[in-house]
Amino acid sequence: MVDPIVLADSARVPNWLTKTPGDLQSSIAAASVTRIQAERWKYLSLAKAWPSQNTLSPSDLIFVPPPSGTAASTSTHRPNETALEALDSDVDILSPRLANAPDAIARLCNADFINKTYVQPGGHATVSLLRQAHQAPTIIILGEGSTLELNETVSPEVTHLQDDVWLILRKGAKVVHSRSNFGGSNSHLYRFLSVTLEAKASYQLHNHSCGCELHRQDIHIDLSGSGAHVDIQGANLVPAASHLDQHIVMTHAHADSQSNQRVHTIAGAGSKVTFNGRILIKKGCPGVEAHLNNRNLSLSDVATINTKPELEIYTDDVACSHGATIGKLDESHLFYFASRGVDELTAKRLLAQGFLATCVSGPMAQQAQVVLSDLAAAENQPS
Amino acid sequence: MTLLAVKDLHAQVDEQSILQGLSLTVNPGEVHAIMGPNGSGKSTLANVLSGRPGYSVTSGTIEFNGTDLCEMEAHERALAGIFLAFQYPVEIPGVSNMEFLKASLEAKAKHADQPQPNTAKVIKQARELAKSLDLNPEFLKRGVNEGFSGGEKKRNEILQMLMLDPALALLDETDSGLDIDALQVVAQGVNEFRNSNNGVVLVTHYQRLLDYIQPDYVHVLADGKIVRSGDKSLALELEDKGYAWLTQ
Repeated sequence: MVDPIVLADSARVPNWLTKTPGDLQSSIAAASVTRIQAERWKYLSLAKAWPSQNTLSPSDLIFVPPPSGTAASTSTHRPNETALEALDSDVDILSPRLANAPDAIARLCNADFINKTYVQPGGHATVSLLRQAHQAPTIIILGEGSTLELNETVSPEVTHLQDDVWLILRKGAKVVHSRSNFGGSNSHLYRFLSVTLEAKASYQLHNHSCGCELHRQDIHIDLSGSGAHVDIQGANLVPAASHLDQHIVMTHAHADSQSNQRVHTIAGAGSKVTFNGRILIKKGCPGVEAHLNNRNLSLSDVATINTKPELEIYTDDVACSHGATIGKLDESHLFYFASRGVDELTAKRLLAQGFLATCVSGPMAQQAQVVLSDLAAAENQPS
Repeated sequence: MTLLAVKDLHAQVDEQSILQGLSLTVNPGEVHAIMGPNGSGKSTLANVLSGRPGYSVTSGTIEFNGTDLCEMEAHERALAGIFLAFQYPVEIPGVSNMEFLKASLEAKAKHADQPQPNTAKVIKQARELAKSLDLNPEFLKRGVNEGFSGGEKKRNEILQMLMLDPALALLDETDSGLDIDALQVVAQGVNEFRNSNNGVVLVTHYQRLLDYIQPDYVHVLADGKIVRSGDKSLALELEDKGYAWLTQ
């Protein structure tokens, strides 16, 4: 585990940070809060989440020092001058991305930018990082050939969260990313995730969500190198009268890149679920393979589920598939349980758990399984 | 006491009358084979007895161990001791075979007011039974019937039957889709199951299953009722003559 350290010396603030805020602030000022009608599809209103403006405070910067060797570093030394210079060049790529965040949600989150920043400049190293999501962005640039296990948690005590994470994976870098969005019944989460992969980089996302009254999640992934690979497994449980609004944009900008997405969601009574998964394959990207599957299970007759898997392809010679289902528990499955003596309530609980279990994976799978199972059981209790 | 007593049973599916005056009595220790042409109501009988939704009894009675079966929900019938081996076992991804078995055994123990089964013992017993049925024990970790071949699904049904040890087993065309080796394995499982305290109702199209499971009675079902009953020799006669001479 790499411990973050606070950089209190403003004289050592890297150039990119002192340059970026002005651009960013003007970018944010130019953007207005997007009304629900203007958003691409089924978005929820963001008005109430619009933040106050923030200014750069160098003393708030938190850096994760570059690890030494191939083992995870446990030291908490200050980054030396060489490391900071390396940061300057690494993050040059990031500034325009931040200033031109693709969606309202990203602009929203960026308004809080520069309060706290985690940076992992990389090197050929294996690093494990536990991140407590809070109102601050995280920027991680993973060096060539490096490996990162990133585990993020949101605790039920969090009532309001605006949060964004930016990952840049250099050539051959590998990230296993677990996100456990386990909010409470009063939790409102707005989360943005951007991932850029260079050649032969690999990114796995295990995305688990449940318990939030309102959860909006935007994920933008750019596969910009040959052999880049992305795998997303998502399991969501939306409790009664809650709202999940989830949008994934997978952009294949280079030939021979691969992506696979599988997202399963259970909607409780009176809940609202929106899923929009878009696969974009740009011109001149032959050999791309991209798959998207979204399955939704309603536990009642009054849930609202909107799902839209999209394929937008500008290159021949690609292999793609996309699909979505919305349904209730299968009567034949319930009868199979009944024929073995299992009552309907228990059968529904086990089937709901099983529906999610196929998408619960990754380093935090065990915890996610317990939380999701408990909530699935609660959702199946008669009211 | 009579295990199963069906009297003048009329039943329908989707408002279409299928069973039309069927009567059948099964005593402990007996194996009854139900044969008949397609559409005669064989599978309907198994589904009606097990309480499958969509199958409704319009008249007649069904008593199981002296209790009116028609008043019981499907899971209550199973807890009372009725087991249906499915013609087409369903696949349930995400719920492992072992979880499914454990839930079934826990329900049975709870109903009988007995202690919950020991998980380690359940796993051990299931693995041993799987081996005896020529089923890879590792399959128990997979989703219920997930990715199983037709023969593996049927053997899994027999495994569940042996684990649950019901009073009455309804085997709905358990032999369909089985090669000769698998047929022998399944038949061996059924023969291990049968004893003087339980009963078996064997729904089948073909006489070949009865080469391996000796029935006490063979019944021919046509147009929703039993038109002929006999012993094993009736099955051989059917093999020779077909069903037409009984149904015309």
